[in-house]
Amino acid sequence: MSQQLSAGTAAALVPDTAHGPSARPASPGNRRFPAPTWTDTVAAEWLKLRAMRATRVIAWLGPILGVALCVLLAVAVGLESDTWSAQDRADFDPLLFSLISGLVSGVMIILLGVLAGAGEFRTGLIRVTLTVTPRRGRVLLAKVAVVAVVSWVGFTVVAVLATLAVQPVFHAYDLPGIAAAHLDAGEETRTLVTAIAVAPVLPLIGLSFAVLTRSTAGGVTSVLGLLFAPEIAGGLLPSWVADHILIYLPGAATDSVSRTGAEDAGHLSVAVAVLVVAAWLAFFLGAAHRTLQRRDA
Amino acid sequence: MISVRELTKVHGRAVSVDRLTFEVTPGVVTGFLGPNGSGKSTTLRMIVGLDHPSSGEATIGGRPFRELAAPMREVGVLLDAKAAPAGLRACQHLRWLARAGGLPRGRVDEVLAEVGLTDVAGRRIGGFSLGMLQRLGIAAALLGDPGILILDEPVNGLDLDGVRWVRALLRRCAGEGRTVVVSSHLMSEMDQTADEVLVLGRGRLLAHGSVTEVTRAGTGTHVRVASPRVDELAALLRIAGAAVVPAADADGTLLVTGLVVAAVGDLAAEHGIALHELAERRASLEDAFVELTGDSLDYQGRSPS
Repeated sequence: MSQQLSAGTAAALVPDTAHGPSARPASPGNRRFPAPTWTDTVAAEWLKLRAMRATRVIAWLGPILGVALCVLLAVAVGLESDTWSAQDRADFDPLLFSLISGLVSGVMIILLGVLAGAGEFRTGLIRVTLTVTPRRGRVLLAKVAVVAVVSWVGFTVVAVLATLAVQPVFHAYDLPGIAAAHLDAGEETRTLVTAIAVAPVLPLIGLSFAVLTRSTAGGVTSVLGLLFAPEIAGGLLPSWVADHILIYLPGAATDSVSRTGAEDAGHLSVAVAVLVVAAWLAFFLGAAHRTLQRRDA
Repeated sequence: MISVRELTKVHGRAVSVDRLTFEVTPGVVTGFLGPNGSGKSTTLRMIVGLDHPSSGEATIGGRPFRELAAPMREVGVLLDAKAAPAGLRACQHLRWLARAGGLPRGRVDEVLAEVGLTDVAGRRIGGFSLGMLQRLGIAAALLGDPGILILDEPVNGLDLDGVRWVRALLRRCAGEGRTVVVSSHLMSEMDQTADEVLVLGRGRLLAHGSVTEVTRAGTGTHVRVASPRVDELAALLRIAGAAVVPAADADGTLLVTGLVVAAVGDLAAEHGIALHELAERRASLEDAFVELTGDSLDYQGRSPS
């Protein structure tokens, strides 16, 4: 799917060469019209999201906050590193460190997912969207594609920027830089790749909640509630609930996908986690689709 | 061609559209009239597939709107000019719309020029006046050069020049053989813009026909006739089925409703009655409208804004 998606976004960025002279505006009476393609719908959703003011704010704030967080933590780690044992020093992972930026970019892309869905309902723009593209399933799918790609790109860009920004800090404290990362071990690569791969999961659930509640506040509250409520409630509930039920919730299952050491208590095996995450996505997006189809706009 | 058959929309217990059946033909401007809350917008939303009918159906060229392959090229829609995204520039808004409709990008500049917004194409929509928003909404409806135009209250917020411009545009579009539906609660406006009118009240179709037909049906339209043998004439007219009242402003003058002007003249000639005045006084569409919808105003006493 990702190939198709990136083709869609790429098409949005290049001038419209697909429409030749044959696509001239039709005069009334000429009833043979070229139908807009799937790519057109994705491109339109992308243009719309990109042009929103909130998107631009997030696009600036996300990297700045993400990098700032990583640099601050890097300084804190550096200050503490005097007291490290040789083992601690060997365990220190300069590459995965910057995934901490995901705390910020994760929230930012969840916001974007919610905005992509709910922003239009507030202004009534959704009626315009659905009259130009009455196939509502296609509109939702286009939003899914845009949110997924933006999540992947956003998460990765912030992580890369954070990685670069912390190198001088590590160097100053005489900690190993990324050149020393054990990429060949495979473990780190896997963690990195899966962390990026699952980035769109929560934004897409946010998008679903936004379509279901038709409200930005409703969407954000729902998805953050879904994410943090189990963490908070988990401590109050018997441990078997946490071990056998809460780990199947979307947030925990997503963490299980990107984590190694599947035998650890509190984590699902990767295969199960992937299935659970896919099932959650199908459930939420399915509900959003059903609601969008049936409700009056 | 827009076809609406037995179209009904029920919200809870309230029936907002009640078994509407009508067809809108190409080549004329069809005015969709009704007081606020009469079901105009709900009907338009059902025609363009936004609201689901409780029963009945609305089709565009025989197919439901949601099944059209290239909707923007077939139907241009303006439902709410204020729905345009405030954060976007006018050209950005039209650009994503063009893309969504699979339309060539050059159309954006063409429609901007057509509605006179070229100079403000780069400005954010948030700073637009209602009149500019209406023009932008009309530009969006024209993007696909569609054979059908559906515009909900397009002259709201326009100044006199703007109103004239919309009127000319609608005329031109109809003249090019397009189907043009334009709704309004301003009757005086429709009187000058529309060829055909559909009058709605409480979700029901109260009248459908040319502006002349609809105004003639109302009692406001009457024949004014003066004669030296006025009492004799009045009796004959009543026998012929007309309602007759003496004119308040002149002796020997009658106001006749229920007969067309020719019938009154013929009747007088048949009986050798001389006439000193014979004229049809057409009621305005507004009068006819007030009469038609008098019983179906939801909020009596609150004049339509």
